Amino acid sequence: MMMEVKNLSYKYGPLKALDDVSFSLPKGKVIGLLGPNGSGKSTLCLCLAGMLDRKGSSGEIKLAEQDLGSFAPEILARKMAVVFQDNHFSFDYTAYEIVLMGRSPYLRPLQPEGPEDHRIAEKAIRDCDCYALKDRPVKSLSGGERQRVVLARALAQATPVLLLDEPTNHLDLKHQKQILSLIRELAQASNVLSLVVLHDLNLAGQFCDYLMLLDQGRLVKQGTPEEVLTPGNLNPVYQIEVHKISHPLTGRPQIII
Amino acid sequence: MKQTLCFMVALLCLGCGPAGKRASRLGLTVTDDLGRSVALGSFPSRIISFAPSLTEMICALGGQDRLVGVTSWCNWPPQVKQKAVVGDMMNPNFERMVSLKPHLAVMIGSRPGPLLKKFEALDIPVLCFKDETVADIRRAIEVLGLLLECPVRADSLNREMDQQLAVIKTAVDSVPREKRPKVFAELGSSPLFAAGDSSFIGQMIALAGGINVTGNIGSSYAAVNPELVVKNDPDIIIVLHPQASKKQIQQRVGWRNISAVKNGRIYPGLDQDVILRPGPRFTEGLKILYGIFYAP
Amino acid sequence: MRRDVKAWFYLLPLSLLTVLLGLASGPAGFGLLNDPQVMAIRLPRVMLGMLAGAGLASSGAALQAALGNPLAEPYLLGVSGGAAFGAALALLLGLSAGIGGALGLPLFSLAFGLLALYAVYRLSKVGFRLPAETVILSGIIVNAFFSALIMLLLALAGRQLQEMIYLLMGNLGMIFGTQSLYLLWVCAAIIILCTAYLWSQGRNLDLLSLGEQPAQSLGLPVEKLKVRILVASALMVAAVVSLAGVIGFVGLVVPHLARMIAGPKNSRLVPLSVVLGANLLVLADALARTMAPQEIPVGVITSLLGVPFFIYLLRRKKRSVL
Repeated sequence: MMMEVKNLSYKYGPLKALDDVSFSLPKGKVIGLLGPNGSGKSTLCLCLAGMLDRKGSSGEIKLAEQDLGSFAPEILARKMAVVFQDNHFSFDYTAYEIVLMGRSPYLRPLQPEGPEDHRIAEKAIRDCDCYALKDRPVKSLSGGERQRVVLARALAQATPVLLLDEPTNHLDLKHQKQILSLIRELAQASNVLSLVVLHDLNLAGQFCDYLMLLDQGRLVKQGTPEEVLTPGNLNPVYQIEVHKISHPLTGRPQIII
Repeated sequence: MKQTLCFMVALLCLGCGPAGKRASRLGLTVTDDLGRSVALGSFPSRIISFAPSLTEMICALGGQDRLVGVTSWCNWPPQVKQKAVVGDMMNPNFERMVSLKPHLAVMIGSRPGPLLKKFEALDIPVLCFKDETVADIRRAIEVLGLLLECPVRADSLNREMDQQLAVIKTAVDSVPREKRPKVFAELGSSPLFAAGDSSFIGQMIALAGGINVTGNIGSSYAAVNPELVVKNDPDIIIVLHPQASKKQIQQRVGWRNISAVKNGRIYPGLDQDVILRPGPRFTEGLKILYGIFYAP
Repeated sequence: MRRDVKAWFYLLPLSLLTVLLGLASGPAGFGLLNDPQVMAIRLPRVMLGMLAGAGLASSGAALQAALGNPLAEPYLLGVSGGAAFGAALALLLGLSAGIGGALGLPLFSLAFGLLALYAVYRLSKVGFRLPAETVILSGIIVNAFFSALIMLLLALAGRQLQEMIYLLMGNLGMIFGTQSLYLLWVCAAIIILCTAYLWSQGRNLDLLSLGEQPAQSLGLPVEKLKVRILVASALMVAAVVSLAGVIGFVGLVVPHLARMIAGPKNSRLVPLSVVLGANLLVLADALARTMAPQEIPVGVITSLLGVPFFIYLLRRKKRSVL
């Protein structure tokens, strides 16, 4: 198992954001994290990224059999890349410069980027379909373009684990499909474990190997899309009546309201 | 000014005069150096002095018994240290002043300021004297003399001053301008502070027969670039603050070849109360300066 | 890269010219490069100008990156205010016989500069992040606080008043009062070491400017690094303030200028800012020295020039928002 979580709880002061969550994530799979707003998806993502205060949390998170907290930031960055929801840039780096920053966990402070680093960065930027944007200042890009650049940066980090917090939020349909296909490819070809927080149940159904459904901090269901995407599971969580149909081409479960 | 006052008093004695609220048997109106007319009910017997120079003048005229309040800087004559302290220009203690029930306050200033307005707001009659020239000193002594009912004494004090001035002037005039020493008056070392010709010390230097090397700095006092002193090469440096010793000045970077430094003619430790204060003892200050300039 | 490499080709001879201009300017007359006495007065001043300009500019660049905010500047962030208060307090307590006495003044300057920085940091922290708005607001608050304290000191000051006022206006002429120039060498050492450190952290500064969480996800020990960078900046600012008083706007304007030439990558930005800052301040001081026989504080000139530049920046920002 690449990542193991046992009895993870997290409190923001008196508020319990995560309540006794446990799961195991294997290598080479795409895991979708679902749930309505406030269910704790982002909190879980941040916990797994090691970004939240220890004092609010109880429980265990293990990455490659080692306690998450025991990793030094530089080492952790070689094992796990994170794509955040909000990306704010204060200065006018070019898209390429931003992507190249993904190589920093492998470089010492004064060491310049080498040809291999440039090769990896370029591949990442092409894979995310932003090669045309590479010399543009990142502040001038649209929300969707920026998101792809940040994803490219995470890919340039070349890590075995990817955490993505709503990476398809600002993307148009074409790019949504592109990105998620890319993540699937990474899982199959390079054994990368990706945990993707998604709002869109149908994208989750199409592209993920496993799904986890959160409701008010509790993991109410985990399993294959077939197992999780049922009205029985979704209705009480989303407080709406949904219906399940099959995707005409792939047969994967799709949800309509 | 003297004539105005006499005229007013004369008018009143004739029975005419401004019918002020506080007009009694002797309604005085005094015009001060700022052109303000101040009405006084009678000769003041409770006076607050808001400047050391004015304190000295009042005492020199024999009016120390009428002095009820002085500033924290007033130190001459020694007896005034027993008087009630009413703060100073930066930190005036108005409560204290009001509690002393003064008939009059006297202060220094060349234009109306917030302090003046405060006095007026508190209904304390206040006279504002200038202190920038020797003529200002004479006038202040005159006016104070009238207020203290001793115009004769004031006159003789002024005449004494004039005599001493004349002596020095004669001595100085005998020296051709090229032979007069160039003087740098240092008022502060960090930053380097100097005085222009229009300042009182600037005038003192000129009266004592010196040539102020920082004369044309455009204002009375200003911080100056040390290069200026090097360029103008003073023969004498007088140090009017305690922060630099003769040795420190001699060791200053770049000043080694200044005549004053080379010849060791640096004079710290001077009595600033006499040299910098535009009061009745200023001629003593002049003598000290003359002594430094011409008979070291 | 072309543009900033080109810039260096111009900058090196320009720097030489600036130094010569600085040495040649002064109320004793233009030129006089062969007069050892005049040079003995001007040289330390020009050196201090270069050091102060370099220190303030690199401090500004580092603060802007570390806080992810192009408006960060030691002056606006209250560090200068704290350092100035420390220096003024040392003056009032007589801990230095004029500038250049004991180490009391620089130490006080440093202590209060760091305190101010810490206060801004704590006040503006929101969870993990240091959002731009709260940083600026906290900076204003801390600045206001120390300004009030400084005014209190001014009210209490007796004969130290003149010295304090010139300290607050930023004046390179204060170096004249030092009896030995050892403080200048110490200041130089601090600024050179801290700038070298910041330059070596170029990539880390780039990462920090992305925000605390992205920087951490890219392997930075964010808290540790931020603290080190902020301390290095504050050290430089305190060193400058203790020798030259409060010189505003250099730390804000110079990195912006450098960014317009070389782009935001800090490995290029830091050295460029350093050289630009040194040149600008020496020129500003040369101007200050020739304008009038009186000492015009160089802080006045930098502020007067800084404000129009700021307005220009603001208008550019407004246009890009449209």
